[in-house]
Amino acid sequence: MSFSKTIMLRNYDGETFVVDEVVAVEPQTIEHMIEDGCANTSIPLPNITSKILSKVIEHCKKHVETPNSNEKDAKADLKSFDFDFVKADQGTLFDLILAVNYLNIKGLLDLIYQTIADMIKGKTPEEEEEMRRVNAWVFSCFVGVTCLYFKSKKI
Amino acid sequence: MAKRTCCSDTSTAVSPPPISPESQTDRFNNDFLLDSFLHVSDFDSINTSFDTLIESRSSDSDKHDLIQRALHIGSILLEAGKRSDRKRSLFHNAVVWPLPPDLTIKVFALLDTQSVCYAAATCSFFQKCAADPSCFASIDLITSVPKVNNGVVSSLIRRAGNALQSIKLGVLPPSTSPLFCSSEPLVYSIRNSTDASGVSWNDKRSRQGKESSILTRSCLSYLSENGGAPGARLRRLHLFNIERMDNAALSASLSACPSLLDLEIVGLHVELRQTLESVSKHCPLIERLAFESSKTGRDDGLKHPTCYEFVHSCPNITTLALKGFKLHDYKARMLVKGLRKLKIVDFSTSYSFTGAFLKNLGANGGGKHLEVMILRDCMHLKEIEVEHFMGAVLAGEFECLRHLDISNREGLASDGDWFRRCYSASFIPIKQLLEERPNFCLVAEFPKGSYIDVEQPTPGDLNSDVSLASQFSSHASDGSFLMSASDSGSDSGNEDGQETSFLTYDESSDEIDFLST
Repeated sequence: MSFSKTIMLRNYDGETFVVDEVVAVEPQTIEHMIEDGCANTSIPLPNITSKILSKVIEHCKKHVETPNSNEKDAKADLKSFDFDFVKADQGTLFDLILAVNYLNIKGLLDLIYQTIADMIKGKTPEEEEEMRRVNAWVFSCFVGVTCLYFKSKKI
Repeated sequence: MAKRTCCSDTSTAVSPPPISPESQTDRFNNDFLLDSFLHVSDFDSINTSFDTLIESRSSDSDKHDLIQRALHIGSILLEAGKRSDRKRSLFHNAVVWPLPPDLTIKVFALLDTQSVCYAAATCSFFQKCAADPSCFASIDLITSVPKVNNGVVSSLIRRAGNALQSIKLGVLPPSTSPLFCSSEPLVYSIRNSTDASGVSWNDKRSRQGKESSILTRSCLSYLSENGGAPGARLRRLHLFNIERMDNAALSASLSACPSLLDLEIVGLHVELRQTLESVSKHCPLIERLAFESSKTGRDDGLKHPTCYEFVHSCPNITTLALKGFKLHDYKARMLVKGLRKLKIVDFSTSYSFTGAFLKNLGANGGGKHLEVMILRDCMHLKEIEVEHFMGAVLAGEFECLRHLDISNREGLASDGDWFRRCYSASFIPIKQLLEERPNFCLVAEFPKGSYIDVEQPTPGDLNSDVSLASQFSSHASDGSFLMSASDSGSDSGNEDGQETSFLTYDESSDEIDFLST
């Protein structure tokens, strides 16, 4: 029985996640860090929350565990997993995309880009405005910070 | 300047403000005045005050001045309000949309052309992102009614710049998706269409002196600009029902696309011979050519040298569809055998060949890579030739062939007599086929029976055919077999229908040609 190596990921909240190396190298960023020898203690990911990181790890695990065969069942299973995965609300989706972009996980990135594109597709400009208006309350905390920024810039 | 002027009627001095400490107090006064003005809650009082003010002026020129001033200040205030509103919206949008520009561009690159244009219309941030060339790498301007004009095409091609990969242009009936190998003809005359405003095509045409609101023959002329830079990397070009495109214009467009891999032409008034010549000359890398004639049954100009030239200039062709053309057997043979990498062939609704081109096709490695052959509604396709071909398949030739479609609304032709038609695929040893080639898909849809066919199938035979079909459809997990005895839908007029359908071909003298081969 070979002992599979595990990697520790420490995130923004200070929480640590222990994952198998084979799962951890899905994100290219982490793979490069390991290659460069930065992974002796734990890999810091200061800009990713626990919620998002756990989702990402779940996705990587699923894709690593599914054997890379051309079997229809495996592919369909993976597809339905992906479909459910991106059913999250827009806020989570956007956080996810920033995290995945940083971690550089190509497959997941493409999936999320496509999901967001599908949200925009087929909408008239008015509907798009509406779509963004709805999300305003989620980001209202950002407004205060940027307000100060604008004031100091004196436009 | 006018902003500095007081709203009250006491000060009439219109001198430029001195750059002095006094200007600070001026500004403070103005801020205060504007603030109190904007907080006037009774709007009627503004009206009455204004009227009183006008009346208090004795001279007419004074009245005029005052009115002009009011209008001027009013418009300045309006502009200031709009500007602030835009800024606020932009700021709000920037907060709500957390993706940085590079990721937004990546999302936009996945959108279809219309959605990108809509996104660009929502705010200036999106407009900037949507201006990135990668958002227009695939230009899809297919509409159900003609509403795109040359200007739109040119500006989108310009925006795409070096990223341009694919252009789809033209008019398609709304219910059809332009699936390759579909049995429904995609040729669609825009004369039948009216756009949403109720303006018919003919009305649009008669607008003199204005830029045409629909696509004209030079719609792709921008591809040739700047020494052909825009068209240089184009890989895919699909053109549907662009009525005004002609041979010369198409040839000019193709000459600007040396990297073209995929060309689809449906319903253009261009001829097969000239098109193949243009493609041979300008697009040597081409891999897929799908051409559906706009005048089915009347394009008979294909010449042998053209086929020869085509086969030698375009060796990379893997998919070839020529629908609605006159193709003699020897030309079909040259095409199918000469194109060494050919995988998918579709000669549906083409005529004149009997299937003799299939004879000995497999010899000397011909048709080695053939996977799909579609010969739907080929008027003169003979049952006997199909039988021989299937024999070759069962003997082990055409190893890659997995799909054959010989459906025919008029049935297959009998040997020797064009008017005798065969309506069943019973000549094909189906059991053996499914045993030896379990992945094979055979499609053979014929109308149910015929009044012309002398050899009427006996009730017993008919039943056995039907039962065979059900037997095979039940255990077709990998191998699928579609044989439906479907109603032709016009049984009552069948006799007449048969005769009139041959009239088109009677006009040409080519009947003699195919009878003698």
